[in-house]
Amino acid sequence: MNDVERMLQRALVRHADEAPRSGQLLHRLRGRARRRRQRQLIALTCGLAVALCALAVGVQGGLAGLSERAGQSGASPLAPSTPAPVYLTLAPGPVTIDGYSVKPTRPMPGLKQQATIVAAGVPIVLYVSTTGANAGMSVQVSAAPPVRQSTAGSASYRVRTHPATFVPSLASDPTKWSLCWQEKPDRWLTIEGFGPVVIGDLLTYAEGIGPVRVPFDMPFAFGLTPSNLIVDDASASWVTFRPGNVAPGGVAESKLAVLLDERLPEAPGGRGVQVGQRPGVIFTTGGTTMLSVSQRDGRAITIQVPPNIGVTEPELIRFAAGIRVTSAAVAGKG
Amino acid sequence: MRANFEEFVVARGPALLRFAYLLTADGYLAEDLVQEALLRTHRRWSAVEHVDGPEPYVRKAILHLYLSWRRRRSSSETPVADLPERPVPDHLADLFAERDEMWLLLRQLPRSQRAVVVLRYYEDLADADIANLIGCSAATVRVHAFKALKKLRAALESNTETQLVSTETTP
Repeated sequence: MNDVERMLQRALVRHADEAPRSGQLLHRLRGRARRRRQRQLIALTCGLAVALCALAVGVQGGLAGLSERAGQSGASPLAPSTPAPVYLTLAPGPVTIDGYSVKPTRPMPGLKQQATIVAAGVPIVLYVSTTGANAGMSVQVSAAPPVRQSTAGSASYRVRTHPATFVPSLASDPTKWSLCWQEKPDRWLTIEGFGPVVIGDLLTYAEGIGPVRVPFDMPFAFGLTPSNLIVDDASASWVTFRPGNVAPGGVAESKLAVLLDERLPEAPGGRGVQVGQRPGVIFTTGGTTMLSVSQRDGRAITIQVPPNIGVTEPELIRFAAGIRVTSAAVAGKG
Repeated sequence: MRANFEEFVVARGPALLRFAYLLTADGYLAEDLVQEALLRTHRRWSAVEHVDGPEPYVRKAILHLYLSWRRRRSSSETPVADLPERPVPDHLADLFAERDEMWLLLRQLPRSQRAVVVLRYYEDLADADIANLIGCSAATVRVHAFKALKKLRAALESNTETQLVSTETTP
């Protein structure tokens, strides 16, 4: 080893002692895993809604393409793979979500209603097993027909007076089944589930779905609205907003998210800030800016701003200061 | 999280943080990389736990994250074109000057060269093992090391000449 190599080795050994302490590493790792699971859950619940929206876009694009091809030749531009940045614009006023246009009135044996959420702008009612078995179900209403599934093994039934198609094993996911029917030109109902199902029970349940408007209970009251963003997902624990250049149900990392956490998260490299009358901490992780604001009951509101949405720190704090937790909110669990 | 994964984090966390810190020279970034690498390892824990042990997998993940990480906002690392001026050091300050000077020079190296010198001179790995971790040939590792040492030597010699000139001109 020559002199430079020895100097190099000495420098590395001495500076290694300056590394961060590991005492909180496991705790911070758990917090990071929890936040990631929350984002993944948001993305997972968009699965069917994304397919529906993709089909709707495809249908519209196909019609547009037909008229284009009739008149002229030309290729439609490819959608950009990463959204161009947009800058957050705030306006006074609350954020509201259109209520559900479906209300189940009959039980589904073996399942219980767990939550009502909005995914990719589409309201969905979620069911889970009452016994912890591997079974579940979702119910949603859409303006466009669902993705056409393979007809292999499908059967025709009626829900009230409407023809309905039951597919016992979806081409997109063979572990799932679905029942779908159309009630109006712009109203399609889809029940999709996994686990054992008795078709008689399913039809009885489907016939009890009433076309009434049920308001969605927002987990937060917003004093300021992100006026150039669109509400994409919502549940009892979070609300996400997407820019117009991000498709409904787009990746979670391209949407602004407001979440309710059980406590203020660990914030490596974070800086304390004052958000209205409450203390908060601002930090970045993986390119995303996070502002967490402590609540009186120990819970925390966390706002995640992805790299494709620009916002100044004062504006982010102003937005956060106008957010209140409602009685419908449930903190996300990790 | 699985109990044996958590045991691994507690036991090897300090070493992983030191490794990441020497690569990045940034405590926050080091922790960010280590957390991300550990999360990815956790997803594949049952596969990596028993084969060669999880640590090589985690170190490889840290390395790849470091080599591919794109700086999205300014970090605490501020590469300088010229070495900061230093007064002629006395005997006790010689050690600190040498340490700080080498550390500053290290921060100016390209990431691939820096990764190689950390793995060779701190982790004491053979070139073949370094090549396996980084995902290149042993010959490439030797090239990186050669270039890094050449750059460091040239900068040190240049700075020594500057200090000698300052000494001579200082009354």
